[in-house]
Amino acid sequence: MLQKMNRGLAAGLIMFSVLLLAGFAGKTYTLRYAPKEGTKITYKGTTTVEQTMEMMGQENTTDIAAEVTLTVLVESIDENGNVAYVVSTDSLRSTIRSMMMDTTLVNPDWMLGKRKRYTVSARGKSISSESIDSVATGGQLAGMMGSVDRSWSLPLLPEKPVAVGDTWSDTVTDTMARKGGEIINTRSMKAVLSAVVDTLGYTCARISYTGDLELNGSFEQQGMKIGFEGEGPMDGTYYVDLKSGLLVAHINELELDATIGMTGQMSMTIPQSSITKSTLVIKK
Amino acid sequence: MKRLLYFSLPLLLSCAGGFSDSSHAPERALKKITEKKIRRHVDYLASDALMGRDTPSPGLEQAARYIAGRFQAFGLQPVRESWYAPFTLGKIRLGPDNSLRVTSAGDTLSFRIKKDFMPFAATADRSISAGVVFAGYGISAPEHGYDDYAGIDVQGKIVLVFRHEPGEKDPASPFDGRKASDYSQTKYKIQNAIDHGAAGVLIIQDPLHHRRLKARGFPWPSLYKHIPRDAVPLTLVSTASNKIPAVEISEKVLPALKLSKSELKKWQQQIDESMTPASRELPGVTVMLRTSTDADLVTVNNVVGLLPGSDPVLRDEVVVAGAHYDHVGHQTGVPAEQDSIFNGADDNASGTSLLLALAEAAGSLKQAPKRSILFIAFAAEEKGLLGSRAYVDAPLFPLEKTVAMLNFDMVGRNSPDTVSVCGTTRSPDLIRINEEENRAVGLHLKYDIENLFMRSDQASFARHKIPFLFYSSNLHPDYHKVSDHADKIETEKIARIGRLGFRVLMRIADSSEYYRFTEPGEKKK
Repeated sequence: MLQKMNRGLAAGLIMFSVLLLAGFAGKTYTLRYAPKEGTKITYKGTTTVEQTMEMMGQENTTDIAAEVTLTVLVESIDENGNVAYVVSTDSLRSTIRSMMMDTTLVNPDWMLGKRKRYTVSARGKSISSESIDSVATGGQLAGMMGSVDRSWSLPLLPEKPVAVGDTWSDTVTDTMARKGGEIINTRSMKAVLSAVVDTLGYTCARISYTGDLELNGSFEQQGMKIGFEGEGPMDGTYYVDLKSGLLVAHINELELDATIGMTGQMSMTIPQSSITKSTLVIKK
Repeated sequence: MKRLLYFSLPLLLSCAGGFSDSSHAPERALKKITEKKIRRHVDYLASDALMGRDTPSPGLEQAARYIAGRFQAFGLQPVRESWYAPFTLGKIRLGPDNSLRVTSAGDTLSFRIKKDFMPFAATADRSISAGVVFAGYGISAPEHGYDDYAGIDVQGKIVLVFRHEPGEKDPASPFDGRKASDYSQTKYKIQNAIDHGAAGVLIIQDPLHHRRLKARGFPWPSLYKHIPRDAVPLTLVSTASNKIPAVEISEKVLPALKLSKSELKKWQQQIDESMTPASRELPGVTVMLRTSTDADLVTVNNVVGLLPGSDPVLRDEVVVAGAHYDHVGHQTGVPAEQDSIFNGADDNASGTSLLLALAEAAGSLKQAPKRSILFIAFAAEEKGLLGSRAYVDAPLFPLEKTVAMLNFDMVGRNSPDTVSVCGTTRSPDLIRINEEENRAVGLHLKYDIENLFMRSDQASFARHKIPFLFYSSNLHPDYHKVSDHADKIETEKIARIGRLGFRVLMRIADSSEYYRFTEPGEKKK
């Protein structure tokens, strides 16, 4: 029987929270991530993914809709201000519709409660990421759910204090080692402090951004060599509470065009396009 | 009457070669399906000597000779004087000369491969220069009363067409709406352009549903840094001489064609809303397009054996029984003490052995059924159902006279009393027949493999709306692993599925009935 494709693309999950130290003179703000140790935050998120893959001359579309709740624990802050966050999924309900499957996933045990630790600098640069609990493979479905995670990425903050209307830009590159290779995730972003607004009971800094994501790399899986290259534009808005430094909401859209190539049991190249729309809102 | 029948039964059985409770599958033939013979086939096909039967490989050829030899020994007939139905596969690489230039108002602009244009795998090794005609979605669908080529002349011209189809994601669309139909496939659009005499094809992403109109085309590994150079699939190679250059263009090419994205959006919206084509010539524009490819070609064989029908009229109709005999080969660079051969005992030495058992039982019939039965052992299934696709592209018997297809793939594992059957949504009549015939066999029928529909050879026949049944024992931990060994195969299970398959096969072949093919979601009247 023809083997179903393994989609090895894994999305980097970067979790951090925000503390905004107001620079009172001239209404400027110094933005830094420095939450209190032990803080626990729960978020509710929705994600839709419309993915098109072309395999063997056939174009197939997959639609994913997911609702998720997750908990973020501020585990520790070291002397350099680097923050370690522990992130786990509390619940997930997702429908996946394609020519090959029509499935509803509810709280899959390979995802639920599995903790990952993300350490980031005070400005939001990724220092490290690791799995705390062993995660049984969820196969292709787990690969698809990787796209759900993207809603929790946050911007790199500006070095200097900023006022409303000020912009900053930066490029962040994360390299994740995988068996037989690595995955390089590069995000170039231009952000603007677009407003300070009251929303969901918080007074928030509204940070709007546009940018590009690049995912490149190669690795080995099940005896196959897999390489991929992808890139695409993204835009979104973050809402951050000025007093508590919490992320209150994040709206994001990412359009990614990728090519996956593999050799081994099967040799093929697969063009893949996806449009991911997600929202993440703090849960009261 | 009852008593008379009772006494007459032995006589009837002897006259008819021993009919069982089904009047179509003689008991004597059913008894040919034995565990012992199936075991012999499985052990041979899944042996290390065949090195995993990769496509192409000497082991696959050896397996083909074994199957052809059995077909001959069982009394089947070759087709067109051969036990083999060859087809050509190739690994296509991008050639050195690929260019796109557009001239309008005296200016010529050159575009970059990958960024601005990308050849499709089906492109020709050819250079052309011609005017451009916008041909909507490039679709001619008479059943929907829709034809993008109506009223335009594209002879010798290059056509510009959208990806996808009218009414994408619109449940009210006369096309499939929620999911893409075959009309949305680029392969179809290129062929339809050829059929209308076009000299070349420019395909562009449909602008209504996509923010970026990128030149995706075929992702040639030589153009990418991280994609392995040999990550090129074996594909069916068209030997047709009428291929034309075909590329996908990005939105960067539009200004040179005197077009804008917003204009294209407007045209697409107009088509979608009215279901009326908006095709038109693009005056004052000349496109010079050159594409080139290289290919390593190889010939591979499906193995075929025919039991001709006995009815003078119905013998022109055929029932196909199929199973793929290839697997995925072996690993290299593995330490000598480690197993490196993907023996594929269940996938699909089991189904091939069942097919041979059916062929032997059919070959033993004293009286052939009314319709002909074509036994096909498919190659290159693991490469993307290529053997069955090659068959339906160039069938030995007309597809419109192919009344049904039974496919056996991975039938020797998991619960011994259970067989999973796919066909409930598309072949309701055959499902009913299968259930009726199973009363004499007593297998527990499960309908849990509809999700595997696209993953075996029946899918190639279903694309031509041929009713099918797909038998399998479903996936297991040894699937596509070196541990898929012959000693794990339950030959008793294969024999039972074989007896069920034979009853169904005989019932269809000995009938003059026709069976429905329904699309998922369609009402089964």
